[in-house]
Amino acid sequence: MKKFRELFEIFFVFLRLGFVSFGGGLAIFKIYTDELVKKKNYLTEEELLNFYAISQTIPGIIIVNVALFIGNKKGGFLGMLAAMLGVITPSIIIISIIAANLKQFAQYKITHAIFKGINMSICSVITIMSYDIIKKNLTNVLGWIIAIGAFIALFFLNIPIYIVVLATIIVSLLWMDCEGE
Amino acid sequence: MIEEILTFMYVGLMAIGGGLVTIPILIQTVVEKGWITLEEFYNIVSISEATPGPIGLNISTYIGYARGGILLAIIASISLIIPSFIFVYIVARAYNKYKENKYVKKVFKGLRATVAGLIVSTALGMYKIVVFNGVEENIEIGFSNFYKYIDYLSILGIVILFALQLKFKGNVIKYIFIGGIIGILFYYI
Repeated sequence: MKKFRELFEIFFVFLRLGFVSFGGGLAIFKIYTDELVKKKNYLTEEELLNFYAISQTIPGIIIVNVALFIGNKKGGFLGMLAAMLGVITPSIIIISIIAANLKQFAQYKITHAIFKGINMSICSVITIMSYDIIKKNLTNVLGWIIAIGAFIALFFLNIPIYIVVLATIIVSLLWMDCEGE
Repeated sequence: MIEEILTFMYVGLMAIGGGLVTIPILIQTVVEKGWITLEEFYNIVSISEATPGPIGLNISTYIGYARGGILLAIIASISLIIPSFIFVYIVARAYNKYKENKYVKKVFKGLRATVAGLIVSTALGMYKIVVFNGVEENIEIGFSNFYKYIDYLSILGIVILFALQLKFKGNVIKYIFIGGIIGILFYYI
C-alpha cells in the first residue's frame, strides 16, 4: 500500500507539471529544477544535470528521458511506468480537447500572440538559468574550455549533440580533475 | 494498428538529440505514408509548441489522434516512449552502480560543462527566434540586414520579464503565464 501511494505520487507530480509545462524542453527542465529539486527533494540539482546530459545521447525525447530517470530513481521499474503515464496523460487530454478545432486554433492571431509572449518569458528564464548553471558547474579551467567548445560546436558549427557529448567524455576521461569533491 | 505502433517506436528510436530532430523523422515517416499532409503537419507543430508538454510528444500524440481518435493518441505516445524506456532502464542501472566511480565522476563533471554550453546555445537560438521577425519564415538574417527585422516590442517584453523575475524570483511557471499575458497585450490588443 505504501509502495502504491509512492507510485501514485510520482504519477501525480508529472501529471500536474505536464499541464503547466509550456515552452519546450529547457523550460520544462527549469520547472523540474524548481519543483522536483527545490520543493520535493526528489533528487539533487547535480543529479538532474547528469540525467539531462545522459538523456541527450539516449533515443527519444530528452525531457521524457529525464522524467523516466527521475521515475526510476524514485520507484525503479514501476516508478518509470508511473512517470511515463504522468507525462503522457496531459498531452493526450489537451490534444483531445483542441484537436476538433485544429485548423482554427493554429490560425488564430491570439495563439501566435500568446506563443510569442511565452517565448519571451522563456528567453528570460533560460538566461537566468544559464547564469546559475555556469556559476555552479564551471569550477575549473577545463570546465570552461568544454563549455565554450560545446557552445561553439552547437551554435555556430551545428555539430550533432551526441558527437559533442562523445568528445566531452573523451576529454573528461583524459584530463578532468575531480580532486576534493 | 501494428503499423502505427512500429512507426512511432521507430521515430522514438531515431530521435537522438532533441525535439527538433523528431520533426524531419516524422516528416519522413507519417507524411510520406500519407497519414497527414505536410500542411497539416506544420499546423500540428505550431500547436504543439503552444500547448504544454514536450513538443515531440505532443506532435506524435496529435498525429495519433488525427489518425484514430483517443485510442491511437494513447498508442502513439506510448509507442514513442518505449525505446526511451528500455534505454533509460539499462543506463539508469549502470549509472546507479558506477556513479561513485572516479572515472564516471570525471565524465559527469565534463558533461555538466557541456550542458552549460548547450543551454547558452539554446538560449541564443531562442533569442534569435523571438527578437527577429521572419526567422521562422527562413529569411536569411545577417550583418547587412539584421536591423530591418528587429522586433523592438519583444525586447521590451523580455526586459520586463527579466526584471520581474530578478525582483520577485519564485516559480518559473508563473512567469510563463505572465509572458502569455504580455504576448496578448503586445501583439493582439
